[in-house]
Amino acid sequence: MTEERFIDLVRIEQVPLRRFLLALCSGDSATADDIAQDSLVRAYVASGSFKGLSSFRTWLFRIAYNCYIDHCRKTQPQRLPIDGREALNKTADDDPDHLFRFQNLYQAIDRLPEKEKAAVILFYFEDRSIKEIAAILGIPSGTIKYHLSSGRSHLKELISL
Amino acid sequence: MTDKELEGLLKESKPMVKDDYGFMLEVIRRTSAIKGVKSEVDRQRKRWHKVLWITFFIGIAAGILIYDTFAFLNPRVCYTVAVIAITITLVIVTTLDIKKQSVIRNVAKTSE
Repeated sequence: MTEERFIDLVRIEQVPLRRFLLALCSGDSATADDIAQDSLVRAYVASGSFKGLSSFRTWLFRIAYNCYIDHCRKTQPQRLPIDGREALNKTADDDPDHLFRFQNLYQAIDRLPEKEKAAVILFYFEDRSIKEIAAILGIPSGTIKYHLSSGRSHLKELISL
Repeated sequence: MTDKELEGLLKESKPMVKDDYGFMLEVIRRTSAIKGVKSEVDRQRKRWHKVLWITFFIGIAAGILIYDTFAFLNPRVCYTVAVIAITITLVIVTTLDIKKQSVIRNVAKTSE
């Protein structure tokens, strides 16, 4: 894959990729963009081994998810107060009740176990199919369904607290 | 809260990310900076592919040779030895491939 081709594909995929990482990083856009840059560098170096067995997007998301996991292992998990406005690009003028609901939801997502969190984000925020999520996270489809179901149950409990 | 309500809330709460020109500029700068590393990784990958195929064929040839040479003694034993020879070669091939992947990963990490 040439550099130009890679850049063209990244230009198309950069928004969904950054959105996925932003949700994983609970609205911390600086960290999300750092991980996105690292994953794109890794993807570029490894692009020679991309055989097209999955779509470029699925391949890129898998690399990004692995980078995110590496980042979590390197750094102590920080429970920063989640700023719903930053995550959703909202301003202080927006409906405060609406913002509170978003903030509540993001805090609940942040408390989910890693695989559940990633499965919920990919399914509901990125509209990815179970098969694609399985390819990205490297686990069977049945396990993804289980993670989605338990993720929903956990979210309901956490939101209603 | 029902499942439908939760799903509705999740679907309307997608994070908003705008197309960032600065982000793309940084990607272009970084990829240009590691062009040399990428070509080295690609070169290594091609070399390893050759090594893997050569090792694979040597294993097959060794298996056939063992079978042909000693078949008159005890065909069943020779067949087993040949299969073991091929299996050992395949294990070597797989190990080399894993090592290759880790070398490539390390080069990629260093480049960051």
